Amino acid sequence: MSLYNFLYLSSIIFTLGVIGVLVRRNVLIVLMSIELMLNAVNLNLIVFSKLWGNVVGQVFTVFVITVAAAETAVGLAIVVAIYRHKDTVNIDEVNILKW
Amino acid sequence: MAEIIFWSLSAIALVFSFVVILAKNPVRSAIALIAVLLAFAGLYLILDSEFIAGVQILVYIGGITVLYMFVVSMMRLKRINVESQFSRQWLAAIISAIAFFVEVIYFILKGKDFFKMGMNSKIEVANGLGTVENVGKVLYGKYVLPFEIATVLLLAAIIGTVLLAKREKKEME
Repeated sequence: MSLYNFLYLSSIIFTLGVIGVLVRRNVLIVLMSIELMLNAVNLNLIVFSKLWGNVVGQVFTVFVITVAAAETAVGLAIVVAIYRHKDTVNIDEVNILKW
Repeated sequence: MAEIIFWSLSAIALVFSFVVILAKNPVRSAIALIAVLLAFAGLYLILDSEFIAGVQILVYIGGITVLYMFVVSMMRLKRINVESQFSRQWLAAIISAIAFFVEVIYFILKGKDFFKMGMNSKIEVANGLGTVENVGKVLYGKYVLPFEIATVLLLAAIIGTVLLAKREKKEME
């Protein structure tokens, strides 16, 4: 089992996350797709940590997980605020900043 | 053995990632996300990073996904389910995502020499790579300043979340 397989897997999952972010209208699923992308990046960091035998990649994964937790909390709070304000979770309908 | 585990875990991760981005019901997406995260925790275990696998299960599955579940259960799903799930730009989005994928694969294939260089220069670490001891020594040693900044970030996120999700005074009355 070569480490390339991990890289291919993580690039596929990242692409799926990109598709989810760009294609879905439900903002909750957009946030979940962002989690998919962050996980793909984490897998990359850990593969390179294993490849170089250096633990710093895993330390950075801890930071990425921290940022993901903060991002999810704030993102979901924004979703709740939008839902309360406009009664929808469709990102297409939230366009007051569009000119 | 590790080969079989890798292939089955990556199959699980792939299938459930498709479920995450295609499911109509956000609850189903959240459950599929849990499956993907568990598969990733298994992959981290294959790559000798026990600590990260534990953190993945505790923080992602125990914290973040549960938060998603809470928010999903607050929305009225009936109206959401009858609407179209995909935005108008789906074709352009998929084309650009596939272009991105091809680019990444190209870079992986081009960078094979770099990986070979890594194979030769392995630094040997005592008793496993990703144990709590090794990760903690680096996290609290060289990277203690980023660690402190991360704590401040989390504090800011907590305050921001409370402020955003709080009802305004007029609404309460």
